Amino acid sequence: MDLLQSTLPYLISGISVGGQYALIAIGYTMVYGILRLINFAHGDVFMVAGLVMVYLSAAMPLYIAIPLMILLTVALGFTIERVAYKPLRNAPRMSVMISAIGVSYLIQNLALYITGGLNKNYPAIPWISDKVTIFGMETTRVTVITPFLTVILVAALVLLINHTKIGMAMRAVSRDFETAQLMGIKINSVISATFIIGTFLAAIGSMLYFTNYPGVVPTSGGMPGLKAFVAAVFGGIGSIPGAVIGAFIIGICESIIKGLDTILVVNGVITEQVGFSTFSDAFTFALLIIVLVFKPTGLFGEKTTDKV
Amino acid sequence: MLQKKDNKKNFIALIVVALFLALVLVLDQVIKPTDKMSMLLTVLQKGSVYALAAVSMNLLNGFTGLFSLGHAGFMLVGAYTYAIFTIPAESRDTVYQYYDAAIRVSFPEVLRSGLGSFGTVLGVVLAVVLAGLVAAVFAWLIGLPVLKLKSDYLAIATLGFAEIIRAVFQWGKLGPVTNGSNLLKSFERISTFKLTVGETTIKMSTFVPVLIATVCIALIVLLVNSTYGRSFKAIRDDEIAAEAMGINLAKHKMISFVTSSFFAGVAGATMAMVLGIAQASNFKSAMTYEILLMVVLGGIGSITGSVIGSVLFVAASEWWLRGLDSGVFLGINAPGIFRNGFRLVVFSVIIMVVVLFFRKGIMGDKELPDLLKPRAKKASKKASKKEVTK
Amino acid sequence: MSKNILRVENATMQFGGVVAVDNLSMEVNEGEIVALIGPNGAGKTTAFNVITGVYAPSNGMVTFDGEPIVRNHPQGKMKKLYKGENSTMYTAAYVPAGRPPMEDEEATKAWNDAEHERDPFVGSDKVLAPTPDKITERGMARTFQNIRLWKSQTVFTNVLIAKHMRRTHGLFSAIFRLNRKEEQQQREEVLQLLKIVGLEDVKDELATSLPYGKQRRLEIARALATDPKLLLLDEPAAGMNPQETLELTKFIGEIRDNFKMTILLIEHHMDLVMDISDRIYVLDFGKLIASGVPEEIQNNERVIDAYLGVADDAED
Repeated sequence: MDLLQSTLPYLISGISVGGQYALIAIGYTMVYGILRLINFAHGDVFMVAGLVMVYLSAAMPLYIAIPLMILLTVALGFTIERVAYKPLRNAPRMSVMISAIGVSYLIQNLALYITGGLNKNYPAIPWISDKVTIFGMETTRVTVITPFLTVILVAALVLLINHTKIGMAMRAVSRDFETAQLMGIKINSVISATFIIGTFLAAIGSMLYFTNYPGVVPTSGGMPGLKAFVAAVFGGIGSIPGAVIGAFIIGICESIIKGLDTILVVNGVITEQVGFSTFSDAFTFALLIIVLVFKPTGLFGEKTTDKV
Repeated sequence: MLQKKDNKKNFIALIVVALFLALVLVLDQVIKPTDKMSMLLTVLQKGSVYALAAVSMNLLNGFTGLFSLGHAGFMLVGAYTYAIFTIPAESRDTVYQYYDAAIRVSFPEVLRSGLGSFGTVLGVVLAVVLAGLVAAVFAWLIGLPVLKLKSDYLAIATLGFAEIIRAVFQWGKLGPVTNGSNLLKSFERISTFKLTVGETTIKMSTFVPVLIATVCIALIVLLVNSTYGRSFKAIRDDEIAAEAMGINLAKHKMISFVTSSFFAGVAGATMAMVLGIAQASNFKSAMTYEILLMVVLGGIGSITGSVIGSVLFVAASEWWLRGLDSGVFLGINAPGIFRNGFRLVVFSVIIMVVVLFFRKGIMGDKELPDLLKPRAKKASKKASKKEVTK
Repeated sequence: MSKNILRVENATMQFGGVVAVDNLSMEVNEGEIVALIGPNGAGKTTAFNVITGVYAPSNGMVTFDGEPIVRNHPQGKMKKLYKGENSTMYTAAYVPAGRPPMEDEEATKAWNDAEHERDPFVGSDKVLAPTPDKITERGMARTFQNIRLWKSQTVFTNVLIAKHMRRTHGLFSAIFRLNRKEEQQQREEVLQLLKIVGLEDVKDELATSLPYGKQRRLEIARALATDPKLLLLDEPAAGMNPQETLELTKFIGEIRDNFKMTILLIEHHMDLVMDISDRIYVLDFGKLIASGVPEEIQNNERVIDAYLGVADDAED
């Protein structure tokens, strides 16, 4: 009972964080599926969504600020693709990846300049920031609704991909870029649509994520971005369900590792703190490396063979 | 005949390098820390750190075609190794405030007692070499699983390992060695580097980092132009053909990875001695990105380019573009715009322009000697054209 | 009878449900030019990839210069999938030595059916899972169907890199230039080789700036630089016009004579094949359908059917 009692808070917050990672991870996995590009700037777009929200909410009511924030974030994602990735469509993959790193660097520095490097307090969004009590523990409502919202959004996305024309085009392009192009699919609009969907979900994710944190700083996007990417790889990059499952697993594991010292002490396994929480980030990467070494295509990824 | 020409070229290169080092040594004596020109020394010091880091990254990313993003991790290992082995006994307990220091050896101190100021230098050199070796051992262990991975998977796995290294070095349980999440300080740093010969003291605070970088870069140049370097380029150009022509991929990738990390470790050690502190939280992936961007600025696959790129990067951010952060730039006084952080914004825009429109960077994949050659060729072509038109 | 340099026994390569090479057995004798032909998609390049160690076969064995070099093995992933003919014969549990020659069908069958000693190579990955570079080191070199030159390197360096494998010095010597003598000697050998193949005048050009025919020549020169005993050419005349093909035919003949080389080639140009081959193997849908001297193949009905595409039901 003690075990359950002491683990539960970490488990619940882990599921919530997992849901937020999942929303970011979809952006990574979709872009990778189509362009074979690790969009290093995606985590920073997520951070910008947070910052935009901070500034907008100070100037206007939330019911305008939230849609406007989503709109601006999507516009940013779209612009990044058009400016930084589209011109390099035929360049080696390394160049595009470097461009992505450059964009990430630019966004972070821009955010640093605008905020002056100060921590910006994230606005409290009524209802979702409210405190609720479940299973006898107090938490915010956002923690509870995140997993449900994530599942609903992902289901909608899967429907979109499987049952609409643009979804079919996306699947075709991710299967074979060149042939899809030859078949008359407008590659550029498919790619733009992918970035729009990805950043839209990241914008929603940022709202859920930052509500639980004290504020936004220019480097806020880095870690969640990397972790979401790991989640995408873990699930098998290119696979949306894979990314979501990977994100939940990573979110839960990370949260439990953060609390492992407390859990073990409460249960009398160890008597003093070991400092496992230092490794909550490292664990994600350890998981990544284990997956890459033993199953490079992830849980649900497809196997590819190089042609000689 | 070929060899004679080569020998002559090598000889000239050697003289140029020696002259450059001598110049640095002179500058070290002439420029006082209060001078305006002391910025030049700072640029030389930091520039050599980043130049070495960039060249060693280029060995891996540019010459072997292995897109690795673990550089900051290996630099961290180097910086810590250097710092730990040069903290003098008297300051050890103040540095390890919360822990009982486990490693109680300071190379410079031990050797100083026997050899005087020369012993200090030797101790520093030993610590630097050890820093490289430890980084190389880490690289070897990491390379075993990750070098089998392909392009972007390799990038992300090395990035991940760099983060793990950072976490491990900040771990409280390793405090007696790494001082946990606290910084290491009071170790041998450049400002104390002096050689006393009889009555005269020769200051070497800029000379030492420049020398370390020069020697290491020279070694990398030798490697790149050797039969191994040619095989690295073959692996970069076409891995399948390289393997079919008898090049052992696993072995050569490992050599490149370990060598690159060795020099990254040395760069980390040099960085520690220049900055005077070593703290794990500074070696984030952002540092790797910055070095990567220097490599791109200079041209992927060009050692000269990496050196130019990193020195420009450092000079611009430490010196020329300072004004962008402090209100006045090129005589324009606009504190509203030129405030903290603007310099980095301008910088990142420049880099994006290079990445998008000048993908080859400053040098492309050419080296300094190449630049002199084609010009001669072009000239002769022009001449022959003229003859034709006549 | 001349010495058997390459021997492929019951090689099978299965990708998922597709059997790209099905029970292929063939041999190449020292000094011969042997051609492997067949319609597109017959599995010729896959057979090459099995022989040179790019793919681990699902079943079967390749013996080179008297030693087994490629063979399916219990640790192999493909083993689990493959349940076809002879599927237990080449698992590492059996000794390869003492097999009767393939022509003697009765003896082969008896050998296959009999119990054999345990394999001395079990657990030795040296034999079980070689990488292509190890096979090249043993003296087998290849070219590629879609030319794979190192594009940033000059013609000279392309060939010189192929000599890297034959170095005797280590990394340290290479960095500090203690290997000058060896390097000098290798450079001279490369120069000599380029002279022979007629690329001396373009040695400082970028490999990819050469015209197509010369790139093919360069690929062959690069393979020769590894000092092979057996040269494998994957469609050396692909994309060439009749004139260039004729030159290439002459060139391949010269290589055999100058270097005393054994050659196995895949080719579509029948003129070239019939002209220079001593023997020919014909593949169709992964299976060997005919083998023999050029005249026999030219008149073989199954071969003609395979090339002209007679409907399967008509054949049965």
